[in-house]
Amino acid sequence: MNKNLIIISERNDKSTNNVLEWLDYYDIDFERKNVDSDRSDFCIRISTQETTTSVSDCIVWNRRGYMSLLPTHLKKSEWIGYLKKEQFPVLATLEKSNPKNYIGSYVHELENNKLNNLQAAAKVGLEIPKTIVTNNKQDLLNFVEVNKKYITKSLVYSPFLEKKDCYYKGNGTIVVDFEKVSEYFAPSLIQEYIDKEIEIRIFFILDNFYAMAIFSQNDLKTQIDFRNYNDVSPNRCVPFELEATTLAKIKEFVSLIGCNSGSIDLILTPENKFVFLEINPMGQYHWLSESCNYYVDKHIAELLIEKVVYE
Amino acid sequence: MNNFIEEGFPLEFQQVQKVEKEQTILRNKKVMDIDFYQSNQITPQNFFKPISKIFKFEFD
Amino acid sequence: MSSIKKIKLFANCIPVKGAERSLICDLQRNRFDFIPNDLCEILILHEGKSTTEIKYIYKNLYDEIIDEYIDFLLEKEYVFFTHHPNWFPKMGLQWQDPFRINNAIIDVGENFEFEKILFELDSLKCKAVEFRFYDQKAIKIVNDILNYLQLKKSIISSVGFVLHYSEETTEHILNAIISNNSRVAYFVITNSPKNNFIKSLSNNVGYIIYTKDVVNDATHCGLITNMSLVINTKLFTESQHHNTCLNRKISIDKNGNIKNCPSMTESFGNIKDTTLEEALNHPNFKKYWHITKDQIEVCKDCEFRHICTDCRAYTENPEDQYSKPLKCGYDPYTNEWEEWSTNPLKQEAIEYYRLQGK
Repeated sequence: MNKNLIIISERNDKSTNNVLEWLDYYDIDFERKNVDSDRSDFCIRISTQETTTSVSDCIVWNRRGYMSLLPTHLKKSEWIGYLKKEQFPVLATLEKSNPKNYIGSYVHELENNKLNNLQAAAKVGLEIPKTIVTNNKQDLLNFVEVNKKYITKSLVYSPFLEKKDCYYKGNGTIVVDFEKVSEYFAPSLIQEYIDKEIEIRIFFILDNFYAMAIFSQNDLKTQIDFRNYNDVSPNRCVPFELEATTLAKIKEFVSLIGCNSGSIDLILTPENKFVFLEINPMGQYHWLSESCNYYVDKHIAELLIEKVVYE
Repeated sequence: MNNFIEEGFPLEFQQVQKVEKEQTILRNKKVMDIDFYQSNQITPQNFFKPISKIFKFEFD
Repeated sequence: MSSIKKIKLFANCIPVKGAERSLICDLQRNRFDFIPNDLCEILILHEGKSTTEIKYIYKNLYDEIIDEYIDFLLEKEYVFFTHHPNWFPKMGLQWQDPFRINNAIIDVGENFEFEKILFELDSLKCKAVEFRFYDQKAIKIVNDILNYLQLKKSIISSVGFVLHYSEETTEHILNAIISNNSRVAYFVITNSPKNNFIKSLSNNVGYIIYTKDVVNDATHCGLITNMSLVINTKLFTESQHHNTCLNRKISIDKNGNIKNCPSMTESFGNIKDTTLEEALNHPNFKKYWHITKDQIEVCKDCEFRHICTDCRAYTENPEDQYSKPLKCGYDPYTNEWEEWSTNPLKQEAIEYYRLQGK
């Protein structure tokens, strides 16, 4: 008897569509729940014997977003901030009620703590950039070395501020301009700038790891942050094969932080060292799959089907 | 891209860019509903090759 | 670890050898460059070696030329140097598609039952369709088709139209249709007074082409020119395994006959009493789908073979299903493009297909 397959996503997510096409090819049923358009029933039952939830016996692929649990009439309520916060422990419990068959995680995405990740990476033996987190200029100046470059990025969330006719959003990783630093500032993360030969993006889902090399150094526009895309002449993106020791460390890392799917960014230095930068639990993989002709969508469909049929 | 420093704004290091809301509305305009993908909106795409070769287009 | 760097092609830059010259196909940036055959040989045989090694293999007789080649390749970003060539595998050339049919040509004739046809195409989950109207009163049917697809929330999501120039096909009218219908991929207006290309507003979807070409029926199809070359991963990889025109294609000619393409003669039933599904399941329906360019005479020696869409309907030798497309004027043995229709060697085939005077 096949298990139910639930896919949590967003209305516009192209990768999800591609996977659904393969599920249809193999004639497998699924239920799609978009965070921005669908509402889901749920229940959690807790007793002395056990905890069961409405997803305990399903296969869930949490590709993007989360299962929206609020009724429509409350979505525009003034209480929405509070209501969303109340949802959070529910989602966490739902995820944990079926760890073997819950792929991807909104909780990990929300709580993606760069500091924890850096420490976990270091623990498994991956190189990481020297990092300081501080709120005052004195400590910062004691950390930095003369003539070296430093970058800053957000700790967890990307800056976002909504106004009436516009919004402000963060620009990703940038080089620190020490001239502009005040005496005191909000907690900020500053890291040594790592010289790149190439950047490596790895997408993984369960035990499948797909790596791509991005040659961003030939282009001044993309040198610091390859997401400042050059649309005219895109960076070279090609398949990459991680050597065994590095791959083993990456696998240990994701196991340590309890993540079964996501995107990892590494830098390969001119000295041929791999340096861990960050992990995004709900990272995009479409561009990686297309550039390298990996057919990740097909593989995802196949591993979901294996669970649906054989678990 | 300018440093955005407003009184009380905490993130002095970070650069932010201002996005007018109109831009995003225009960009998202072209979507279509397709039942197959279960209540989702697809943005249109070209097929990867010409379907027929019934004309030869030459620029003047 | 060796301190000598080795040369590697970027995996999406793929050399293709032709009889007299070769191409490097840049599948990522959608362009190509010509390269001499000896450079192609170096890239295919000696990728992963150092410059010194390569020069030595050619007995150091061509050192200067090899340096020039490498400068060219570096400038175009086709190659890079690395200590670890084994970290950079070749791109896999597999081609997979979850849909049994992914494109269709529908020639519109009298008694065009568009609802039935659209319903069946949707059941086959065919996403891309081209409708060719020739001299029909087109715009009303175009609107009917698009409204139906929108109403049914059909999976048919990329629709192209080939129409005759008329007072209905002004830029204004066509752009109005395009802005109200996300499914419109393009309009091609034939028999126009002038050539013109109207860019689309979003992502290249919804463009308009006006062409002076006179197109009156399906016999005008099959044209292969240097303007119709397409460089992308999907086509390149499909070309390794399948026929780049007929693979996963189904068509209906203007009389309602279901065929691989409207220009072919073999019919698998009429849409009046046969479904597309039934035609697709006919044992002979897919017989051309596996014919690749590497199996076709002349094409197998052509450097453009994997960036070209083939034609099996009109071939130089109608008796030989592996002969070169009739309407391709390129000769890979001289590297020249010529007008196919006036080529004396092609006249017999032109008569056979009754293409003369069209």
